Amino acid sequence: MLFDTPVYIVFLILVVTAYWCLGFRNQNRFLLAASYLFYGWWDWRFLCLMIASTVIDYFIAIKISDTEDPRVKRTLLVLSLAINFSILGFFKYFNFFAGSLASALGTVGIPASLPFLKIILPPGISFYTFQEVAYIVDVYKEKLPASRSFLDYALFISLFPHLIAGPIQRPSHLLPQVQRPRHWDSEQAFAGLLLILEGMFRKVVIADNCALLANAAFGGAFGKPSLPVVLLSTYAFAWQIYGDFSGYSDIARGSAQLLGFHFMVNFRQPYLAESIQDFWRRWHISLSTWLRDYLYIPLGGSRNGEAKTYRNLMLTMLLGGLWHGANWTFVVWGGLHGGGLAAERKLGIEKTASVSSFRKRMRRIFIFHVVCLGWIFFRAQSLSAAWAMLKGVAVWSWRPEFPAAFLFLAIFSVPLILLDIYLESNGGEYGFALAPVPRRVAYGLACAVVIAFLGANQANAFIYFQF
Amino acid sequence: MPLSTFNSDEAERTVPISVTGQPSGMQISAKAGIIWLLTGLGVIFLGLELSSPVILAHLSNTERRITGEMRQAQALQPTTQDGRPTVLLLGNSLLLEGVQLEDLQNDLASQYAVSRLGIEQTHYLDWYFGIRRLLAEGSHPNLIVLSLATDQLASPLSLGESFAHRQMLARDLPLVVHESNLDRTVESSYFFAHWSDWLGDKGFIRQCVMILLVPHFRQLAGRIADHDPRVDDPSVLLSQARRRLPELRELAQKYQVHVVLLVPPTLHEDHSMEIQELGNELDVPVWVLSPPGEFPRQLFRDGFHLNAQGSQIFTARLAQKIRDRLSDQMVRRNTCPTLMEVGSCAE
Repeated sequence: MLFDTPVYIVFLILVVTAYWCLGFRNQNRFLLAASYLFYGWWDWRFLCLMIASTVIDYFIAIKISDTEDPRVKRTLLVLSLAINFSILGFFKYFNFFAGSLASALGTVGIPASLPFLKIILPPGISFYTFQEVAYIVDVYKEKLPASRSFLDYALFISLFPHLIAGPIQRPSHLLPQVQRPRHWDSEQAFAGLLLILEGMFRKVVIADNCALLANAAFGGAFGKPSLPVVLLSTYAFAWQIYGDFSGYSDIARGSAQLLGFHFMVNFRQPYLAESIQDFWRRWHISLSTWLRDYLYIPLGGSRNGEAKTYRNLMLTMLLGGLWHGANWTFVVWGGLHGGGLAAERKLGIEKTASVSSFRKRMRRIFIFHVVCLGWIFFRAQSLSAAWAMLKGVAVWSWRPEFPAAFLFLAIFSVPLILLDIYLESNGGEYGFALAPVPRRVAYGLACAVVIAFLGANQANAFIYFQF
Repeated sequence: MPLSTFNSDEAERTVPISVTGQPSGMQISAKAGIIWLLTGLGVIFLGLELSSPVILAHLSNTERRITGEMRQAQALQPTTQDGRPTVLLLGNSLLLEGVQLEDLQNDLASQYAVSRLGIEQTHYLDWYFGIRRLLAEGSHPNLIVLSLATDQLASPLSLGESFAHRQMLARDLPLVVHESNLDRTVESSYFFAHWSDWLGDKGFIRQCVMILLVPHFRQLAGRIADHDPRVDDPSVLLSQARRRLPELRELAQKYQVHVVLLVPPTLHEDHSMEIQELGNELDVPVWVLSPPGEFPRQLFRDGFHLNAQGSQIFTARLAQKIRDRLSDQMVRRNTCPTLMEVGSCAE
């Protein structure tokens, strides 16, 4: 079920209405059933996989919690990680590694024909796997007691607003919310409705319209890459992916708030970042903090000298890149960000409040373009396609459709730029979040009208569903 | 720490607090806000639902044309009051630009009453289900001429929610899902779009708004529209034709109308001659009025659509073909009728 479809709206209305008519334990039972229906809507077979994975981790976590022997605990942890990453690896990376191995063997003169499987990636597998891993690690480290209720644990994993594309919820944040009664909070529900409307605006107005341009430009509809094509495609994709994913996150958070849950913020005006480090404080926050806590720090973080810190940074970002998809383009994207973080650390560049407003703006523009450089690799189908796009920067050609295309891009990106500047200045989580109620109502209705008239025609899957 | 974020503190918070951090004194007004917001959304949705056909008709000449043509097509009976058999031309922009309707109507005025229903960007599935709906809802032309390029005949595409609203019968949804291989998300969108004017029309309304906002938007739209891959593998093309032509025949038999497939002229090989042979084999008339490549590039506007000169030639050939069909029918009436002729024999 996609968030931006009528069926989701009907589903959400029915679920929220029925949910608040039930007592606490029945609320959890009902939500679990609704979440499984939401997930199984695509394909019930994927649901079986998720339930199997949930059952395994539920029992392993209890076993870890109950045992005193550290070696047994460690063995169980490794077993759980092996199972989780094997499932993820099989569905997501089997063909990628088989192909890469075959071509690597081929280059050293060993022809190899490895099997390629027709594998469909189950939606949200990367997200719920990371959430399960976080839970097992937290139980192992005794940060969190293992859940004794399968219902609670299964609901923590599968709660439908975050199930498909996050935000990846920390067990210590979400599990206690699942385990104790929730109460209707009008302010939270009102904010939830406004988050859903703004999220829809970001997704169907900004992202889906920018997607038309980005798809056409990357697909060659404007001819071979030249400077205008590169600018058009890259800017369009930059606003597409931001609108798409931040829109998804807003709808997820808003839906959760209608059910009395609180999800962590996932985006905070990322294109206003003043450094790569700052960008990662603002972009996909739930993933960046996950990578920090469950990968970078266990690798040693910055504790073992400069060289190892750089190594850890690069490894974290390369694996973070690979998490996005089985393609070398994502590895290069991760490498660019890892390299950027390492360079900033080496040069001592950090966000400082003292720089002048002009320098701040220049920094923001510079970092935005560094991020856009990464997006070329992220969006391109292959490294050669990304390279061809980059080479286009040195080519000039003009087509009669370009003025209309750049105007189209401006119409669908400037509103989000302005919204971000406004949110940056007042710290709100959505437009007019700190304004009086009537102004917030007017904002929500304005979003609805714009969605009605400018929303792209057909529902497009969220980009992060494929990850 | 390089990857730290200020938000991690928030992530660790275990007690959900009021999202905007506003004091609890706001509770009453937030409740009022919810009521106002939901009421406003209801009013907007209802307003859009009621007004979208009016908005669209006001903004779009194309929509006015389609609505008029649809109404006319729905009212068609095998013959007019003065006894002329009726002909309904169905198709997409290849028909709209390839056949000069007025000329054709004038040319055949003494023998046939010709109507047209043209909807841009439509393919086989739009029209297969569109014809089912037209016929099920009482339209009964004597002859239906469905104009599709061969790759459109084999295409798995349809016009989406607009198709679901305008051309699909509600009871055909499971069949549409099967034929188009739709997932449940799209299936549910089709379901809602079938019943909602706004969901069915919103794509066109957006297009009209964009035309107002962006100068030369039509030129840009041609570039950024989803150009799905053309079906040009001859084996796929012919196997799809072998599956789909009998569907048209069965439809014709069920409602006792005549359905013919008209293949518009093309610059390149489109395997229309093989499909014509297949039509003969399957007892479905396929009209190829110009073999692939016969019409030179000068007769096309853009390599696909005919220009004024090209459409003039093509219209004349179509008129002749329809006239020939009438004389064939007259001859056959005096002999043993085929299954497809039963309807007209009974008239």
